[in-house]
Amino acid sequence: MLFPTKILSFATMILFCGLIYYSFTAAKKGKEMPKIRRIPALEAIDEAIGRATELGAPVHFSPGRGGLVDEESGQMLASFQFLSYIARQTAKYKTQLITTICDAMVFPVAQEVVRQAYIAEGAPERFTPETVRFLSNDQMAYCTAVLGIFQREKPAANFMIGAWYAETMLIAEGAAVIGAMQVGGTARLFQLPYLVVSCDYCLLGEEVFAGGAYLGKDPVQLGSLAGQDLCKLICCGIIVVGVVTRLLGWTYFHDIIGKLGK
Amino acid sequence: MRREVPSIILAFVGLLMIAETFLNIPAVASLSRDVKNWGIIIGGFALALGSANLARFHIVRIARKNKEWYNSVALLACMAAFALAGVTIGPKAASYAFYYNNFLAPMNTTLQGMTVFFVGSAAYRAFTVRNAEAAILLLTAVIVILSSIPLGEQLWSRIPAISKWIQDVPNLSGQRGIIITSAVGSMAIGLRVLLGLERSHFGGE
Repeated sequence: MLFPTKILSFATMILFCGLIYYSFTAAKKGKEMPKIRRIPALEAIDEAIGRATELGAPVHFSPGRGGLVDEESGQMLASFQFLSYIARQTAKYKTQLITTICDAMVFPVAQEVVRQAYIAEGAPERFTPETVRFLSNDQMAYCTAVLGIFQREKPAANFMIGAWYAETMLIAEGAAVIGAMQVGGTARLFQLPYLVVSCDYCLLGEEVFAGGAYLGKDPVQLGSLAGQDLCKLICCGIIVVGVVTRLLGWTYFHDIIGKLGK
Repeated sequence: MRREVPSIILAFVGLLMIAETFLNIPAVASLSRDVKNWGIIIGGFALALGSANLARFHIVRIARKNKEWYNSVALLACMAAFALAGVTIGPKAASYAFYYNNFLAPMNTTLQGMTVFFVGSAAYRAFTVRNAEAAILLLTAVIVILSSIPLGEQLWSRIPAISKWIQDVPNLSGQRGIIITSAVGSMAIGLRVLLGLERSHFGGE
């Protein structure tokens, strides 16, 4: 019944999901979880919102160009955690939030995330059609529209956390030109260097997925992070075993992993 | 109920997609195909919703005579013209393609071409040596840039080899670390969604 070439992937998925499930169940039951290391980019979120509030300027957030039904959906879901947090903070400080959306299917979800955040902070009246804006499905049209918003409305803080493509540099530099404080983040390798050089703070890879736990201190998310660390330890172990056996000239381990992984 | 029903639908669809990936069962593959087609249909409605939001936003801008309101007029006119052309003559018609290829495509290319200048300005800011990390960044960037031009090899014949080592060893291992940890993070968030523990996309915590 199982595709023979996917046995290793399936077994890995079951093992990792089992570990993550065990960890967040333990966290829910009150088991003490390891502390999360300080992540400067996440701490900079409040600083950037504070700066925008002091200047009386808007805050811009974009979840990137990923979708809800593609390989970047994980990043999109992680991005909603940031959007929810930033919307709550901006509602609390009465700062204007501009959320720009590139994917039509993401648009109603983003609207709901922001609306619920405003309701939770007791400021539903602050949610207007201008708060979450669908700009375009087209990459460069979206990019142009965001640059136009930067020039017209001059946001003091720019958050771009999610899956980014060729527009990364254009948007990040557009925000730098108007002097906005920037926090970027992506798990897409090819765009990471651009965010690193153009943003004040940058979330690298898995830090994008750790944001919810860090900002919300939710036990399920903290437990999930602990489970992820266990999975990473296993990966490190496999890499070390692979390197050592290869150096010793034993090819059995390498061959079996290669065969199952194809 | 407002959150439970979507959570159940989400879990069902998620499990179906996982089953389709790993299990060789024709019925599962067929159901999965149907669900993906429903997704495309829902996507069409979402696009209509997005377009309505865009139109409303720009109509309000024009009515209020906001800053650069005339750009909103241009946007609405183009949107209406392309929608009308798409509905009447169809997107495959030669005249439709003419407008697309001679207006939108050159503008897209122009914007993409501007990336090079932005890369230059970002590099100028980033390569300022403020600490040890920035110094390493600057040094590796200089080596990799020099290896890409003939001058580099003329200055020192080992520059291409050093650049290749930087890209193949520290850079590649770092990249793989990011890929593995991101995949694990993505898996964790997927599991939380399947179990209904991840609610940020419903507007919850």
